[in-house]
Amino acid sequence: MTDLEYAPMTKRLTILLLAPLLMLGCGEEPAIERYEVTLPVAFDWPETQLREAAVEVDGFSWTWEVPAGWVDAPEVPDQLIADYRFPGATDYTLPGRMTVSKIDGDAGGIEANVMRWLQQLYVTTARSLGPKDKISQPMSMGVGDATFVELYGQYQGEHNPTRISAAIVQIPAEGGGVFQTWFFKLAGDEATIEQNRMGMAQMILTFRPAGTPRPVLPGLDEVEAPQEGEAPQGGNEVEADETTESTDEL
Amino acid sequence: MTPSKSNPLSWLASLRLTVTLLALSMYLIFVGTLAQVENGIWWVVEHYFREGTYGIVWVDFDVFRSLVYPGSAGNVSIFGIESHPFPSGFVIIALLLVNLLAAHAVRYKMTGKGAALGAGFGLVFVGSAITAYTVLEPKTSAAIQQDVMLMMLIWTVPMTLIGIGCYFIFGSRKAGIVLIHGGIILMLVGEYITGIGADEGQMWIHEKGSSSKIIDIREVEIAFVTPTGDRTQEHIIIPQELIEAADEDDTLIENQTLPLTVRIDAWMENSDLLPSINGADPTQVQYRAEEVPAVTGTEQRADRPSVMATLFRGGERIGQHLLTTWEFVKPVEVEVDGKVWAVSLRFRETHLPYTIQLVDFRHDQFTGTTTPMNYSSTLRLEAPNSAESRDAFIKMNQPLRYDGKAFFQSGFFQQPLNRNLGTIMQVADNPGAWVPYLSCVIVTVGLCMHFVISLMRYGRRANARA
Repeated sequence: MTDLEYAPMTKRLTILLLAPLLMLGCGEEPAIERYEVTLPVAFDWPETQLREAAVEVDGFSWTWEVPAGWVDAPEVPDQLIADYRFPGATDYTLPGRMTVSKIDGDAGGIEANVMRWLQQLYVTTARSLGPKDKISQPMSMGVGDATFVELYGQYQGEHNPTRISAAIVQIPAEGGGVFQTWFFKLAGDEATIEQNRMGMAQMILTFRPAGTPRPVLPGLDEVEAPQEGEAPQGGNEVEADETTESTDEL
Repeated sequence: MTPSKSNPLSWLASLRLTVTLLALSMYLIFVGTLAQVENGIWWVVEHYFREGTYGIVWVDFDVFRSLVYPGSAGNVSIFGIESHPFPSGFVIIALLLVNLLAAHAVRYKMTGKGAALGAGFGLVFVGSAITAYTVLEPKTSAAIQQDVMLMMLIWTVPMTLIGIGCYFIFGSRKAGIVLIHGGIILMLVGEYITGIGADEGQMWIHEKGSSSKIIDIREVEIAFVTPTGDRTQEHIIIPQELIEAADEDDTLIENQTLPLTVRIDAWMENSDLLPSINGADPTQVQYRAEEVPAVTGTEQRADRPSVMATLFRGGERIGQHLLTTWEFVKPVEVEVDGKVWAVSLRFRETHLPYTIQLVDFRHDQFTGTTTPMNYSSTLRLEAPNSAESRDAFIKMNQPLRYDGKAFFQSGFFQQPLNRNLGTIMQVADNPGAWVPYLSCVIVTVGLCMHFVISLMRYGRRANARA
């Protein structure tokens, strides 16, 4: 076979190889597109029942009730005492999170901690309390005084929650002052928080030293459905715009 | 045999052409690397290596500025000329392919005869058929691509058959080299397959969340989205090219498919948002977008395009709105004929017919430091169409491969408020992903064959001399 007999085959191959280049030069014209999307299969959360949690902190044993549907986080970060997750209000809203932490003493006071949470809710603007934000008067419960806090944030995109519902429990020291400050913080999407506020109230109101009798929770023990805008547990809530002086100090 | 000079293939097969093309490719890679400083890798890949205009790229002299005057501004020109033409990467590869094929046509002759030649072709056919089956049969292909080392080991068998076939066809001196060249040719062809067919994006999923959406942060689109059922939505998309064209030509974007007519008042390739609180409620933030320079190739962030767009419904002006890729701004909701459409500017989305769920994400750090040691995700794949449901564990360099796509663990995000973690996966859909691996196997088998045959030949000569 002579060299030239290979030529037609090589020519064909050359054309074949250069064809993609020519095709690239004649790329598709951009056009308006229409399509149907099926939403993703929602996460299948494990089912959990109402249960009693027990933790030991600094030699003291504490307990509280964990609402049904709340799941223990696989790992609790060092700075936290407990960490729970629960499904979002719909299949496609963010999961919520309840964290429990503790600081000795008064932890800088309630106002400083509310301010710290406010900063977490706002990424583009510095701010003070808004008209929807609420801070209750301290409410006496078995272990100490609980202050309930409701904070609303700005929209930060689909991956970021915008609402905090929390309680700050100050346990008094024997000789006066504050022995420990406990933080129960519920963070999530607005609808998700609304769905879980009663669960949070149950958790906080059953927070007590282990071995002490469980307090009776009027309303909650009768499994009343949460009403929209209802305060967690009858605390003397004060609207932010009614406490201008006190909120300005935060 | 020396090729005849009158043979037109001789010029195409010349080694001088090979060296020239390799030198051209070295220059293109050099200027492409410099251009990445300002333009980023994806721009360079598209403009220098793949697209060009009719196979020609215009290399700006400005790319050398970072070498000569690092940190300086302004355009670099030589005698008033700011750029020079150069063949694109694809053209150089095509010419290299032609050069290599011509070299084979001119220099490599079949030496096998009769039954040996038939056996050679038979072995090459069997080896090629086995390889083609492992590549083209979807289940086999997906199974063996889960483990790259296993895949390469499996391919060693058919490649050895092809190698022996080449031995019968081309003889002991050329068989290994034919195989090596075959591997190189396949690698060059593979770049075409990747260039034409590859797509890449990211998938973000928060813990205990699910997604079937891949986003490509290199491109944006205006999306009109409306629910059509409990679990279905209709999406109508205006691609970035049309947005830019409408901005440049000052034309309206209107189409029978679109529920609204759109006028682009300002297109910002990259933007910052300036917030202002509207009234007493701090949660009601309004934003204004300000155009900022596009990010350069050395910055670890992406452009955040925005547009100011005026929407019209049947000739009636609805209003001017900021549409932006910044997540702080909610989509604009407009009602048209009883349907509520959410209008937004978003990164280009691709929706998959299956769901990936993030069961757990782990971010391990070296003890006592914040230096990441490993990211890993436990995923659950739900494919309702095929009733498939399975768990997968991915970590760096150990992707999930499914439906021709590879889901690589590339990073993570943390929700600023509740500190929940989420995974970021790089999703690569490359129909030519297997080509470089196969090329390596072919070249390796070819090199081994050539080495062993040469060693045996040397041994025989040494024995003969002795």
